[in-house]
Amino acid sequence: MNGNGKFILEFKGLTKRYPGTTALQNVSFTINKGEIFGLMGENGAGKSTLLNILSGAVPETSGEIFIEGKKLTGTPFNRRKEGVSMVYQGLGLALHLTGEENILLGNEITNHLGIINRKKQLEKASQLMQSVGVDIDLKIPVLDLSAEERQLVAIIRAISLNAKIVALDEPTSSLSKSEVEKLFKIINDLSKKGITFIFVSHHLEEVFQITERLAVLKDGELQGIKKTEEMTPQSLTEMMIGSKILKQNKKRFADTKLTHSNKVLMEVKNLSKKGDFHDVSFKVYEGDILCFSGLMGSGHTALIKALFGADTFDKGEVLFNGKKLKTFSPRSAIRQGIVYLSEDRLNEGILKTMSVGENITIENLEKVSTKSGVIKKRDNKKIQEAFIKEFSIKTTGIDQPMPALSGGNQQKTLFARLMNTNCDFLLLNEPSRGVDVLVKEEMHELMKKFVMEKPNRAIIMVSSELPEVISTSSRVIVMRKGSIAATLTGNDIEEGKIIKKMV
Amino acid sequence: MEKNNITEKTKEQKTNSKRSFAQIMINNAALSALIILVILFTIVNKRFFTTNNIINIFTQVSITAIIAFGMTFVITAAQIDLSVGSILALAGMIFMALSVAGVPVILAIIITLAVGGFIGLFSGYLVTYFKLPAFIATLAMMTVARGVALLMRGGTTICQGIQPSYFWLGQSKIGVIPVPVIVLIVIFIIMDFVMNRTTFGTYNRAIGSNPEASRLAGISVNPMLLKIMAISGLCAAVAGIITASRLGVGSPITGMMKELDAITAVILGGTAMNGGIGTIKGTFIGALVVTILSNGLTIMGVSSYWQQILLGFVLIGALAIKKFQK
Repeated sequence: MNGNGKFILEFKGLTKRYPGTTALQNVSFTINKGEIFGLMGENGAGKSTLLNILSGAVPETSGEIFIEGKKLTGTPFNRRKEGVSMVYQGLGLALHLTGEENILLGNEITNHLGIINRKKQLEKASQLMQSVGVDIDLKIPVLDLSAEERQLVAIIRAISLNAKIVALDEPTSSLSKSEVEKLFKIINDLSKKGITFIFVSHHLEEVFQITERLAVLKDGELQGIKKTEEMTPQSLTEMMIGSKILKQNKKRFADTKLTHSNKVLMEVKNLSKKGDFHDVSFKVYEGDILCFSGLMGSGHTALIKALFGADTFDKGEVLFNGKKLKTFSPRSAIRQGIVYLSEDRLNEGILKTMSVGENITIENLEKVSTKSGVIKKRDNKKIQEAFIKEFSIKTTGIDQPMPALSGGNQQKTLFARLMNTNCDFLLLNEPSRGVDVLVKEEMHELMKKFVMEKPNRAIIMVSSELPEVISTSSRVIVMRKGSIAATLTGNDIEEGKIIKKMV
Repeated sequence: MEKNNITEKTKEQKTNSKRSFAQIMINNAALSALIILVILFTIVNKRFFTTNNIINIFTQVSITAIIAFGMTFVITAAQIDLSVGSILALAGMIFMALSVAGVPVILAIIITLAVGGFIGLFSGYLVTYFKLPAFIATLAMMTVARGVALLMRGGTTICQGIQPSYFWLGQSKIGVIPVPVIVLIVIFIIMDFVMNRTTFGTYNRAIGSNPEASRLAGISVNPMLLKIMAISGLCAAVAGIITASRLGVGSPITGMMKELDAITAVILGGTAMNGGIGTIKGTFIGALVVTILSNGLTIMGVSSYWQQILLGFVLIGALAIKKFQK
């Protein structure tokens, strides 16, 4: 790999900045010809950004990509012709067109009038299909095919233009076990023919089964390139979610405070949601910062959303302050004093067209308005300004548009939004995702302050950052494949033990 | 860190720097268009800038503007209402039919407004609970309402046996100011207040900005949409009543293409087609631009065909300026 001339693809100093965040930071590595290469990382680590830059869907801020020594530029279609193909998670198929049409989409066989030659198209598509060694009805709409067949059509499409490199984004997410085996056999066969695969999946077993080498990304930075056989699920997980940044601050918050009282604030009994979590029961005590930890897809994210009423669940019940909760919707949760911070700040958090000030008071406008719904301008402004000061949000003022703020300051604004409600129970989903170290620590201080300031308060947090989990939580529940794998307290809250329970 | 501070400072300077007149003009495309049109027509034709014609313009603008005010709420919520022109016609027909039936004018107004509001509510119901795109739902209501209006008298107008009290709203004046203009100004003040100063207006912008984030912030998105669509229907009914009262007849073919005038006014005014930003003041200016353009050109003797072409280009121009400033 180290420049021995064998590599087909080279990323050189790739960086992508969005307003407020850096999605990819100076990433450089190479991929060998015919290799099946794993790209690993938790949500928001930068995998999608890397793939999107590779495919030409988004432009890089700086850096270069070389394919066989030649610089890769241009539109996604140009890059396909150069040999770079993507199979996205949603497959990117036109569902109402047939398999044949999808395979040759944008590359139709036509006469000089632009009229498609069906017969030749079908021949070509069948030929491609046979080279993969499968048998699919290419004459019916893709809509009527099974999930596996669709996946294969997408792969055939990807290799149809002399592909040298095919990136597969979560290709197994909708496949059964036996279908996955079949798919892996096809990928292996194609790689022997010299096609290089970039394989993205959050199923660790699959990554270990199929990849030869892998790269781990975290917060947009390359953590390392490893031979898969040299890794264990534990060491890989450690790379994906462990961190060096907060090492000096490893003094656990748990040590400094940490005894929650015996008073139960929330009790969750046998909560289940098909495909996400199963029979989950736990209690949250006064003063608790209960942290849910687990790999992607382990069900903790769906669980915290269900508790807030942002998502549904199938079975089970939740007691809050001794009373059974009857309705589950964000609105009723907020009325009960339960508030939620989304992990997707841009799409579920901020209101982009509104000002910083409006973003702060939107969740509790009743507080600053008359019964008939007229906003008391002065009160509103006073509260907005007070929060900006209290949380030291860096902004030119309450009227600044929200998108102008940096990621960290947007997050603090959203935290202020929660604090403006009369909440006593926080559900925080990845509270420090995409914010810098300083804001991260500020957030942790705010959380600590929240539970200590007044009685009858607690926090449930979901975090994929182990240092955060370790330094802030009073108890940790580790989830694995939708169930609780372990509840850790006190000195058991340490990296090794948590990771061991995750995988 | 230092670098961060520096970039943040330059950002501050940019937003704080005093805006030049040119920038104000660019930031308010509709306002600049309005000023340019007024100056242009005043120079070209002496009959344009007279008290009479100005009152005339405001009377003409009232119908479009009232509909456009309702439409502003709808578009701010990232929806659309194509049914307003038809509701206008249907409201006019119902209003005059009630007159013929001997219903007192106050009661007739209430009933007509209720019908308009109900049609809007029904569109809203289709959008929120049947998950129909607003474009489809209101397109359906547009043909339904127009069909009912035509059906009422077999396609003809209601012009006989109308009580004189029904003409007051459209035809009389208070001092020199026609009643429709007073209605327009009252609605304008209320709507502007609702949009800027109430929780309703704020939630309206929030759900247009990001419905999921709004839901997670505890805003009841669906009830809001119902109310917004009802407001639009209500505004169209008001415009229908005024139109019928002014014409002195109930006509099933009034308000054709009125929805497009209203949308043009709203977009010209600076409300975002994607939702999240809405301004009633801007809409008022937008409606004035649409009206003055046709009024001024008519005075100059330009054919209405040319007027349509010019209006299209004004809209494109206004949006191009908006794009340019980004």
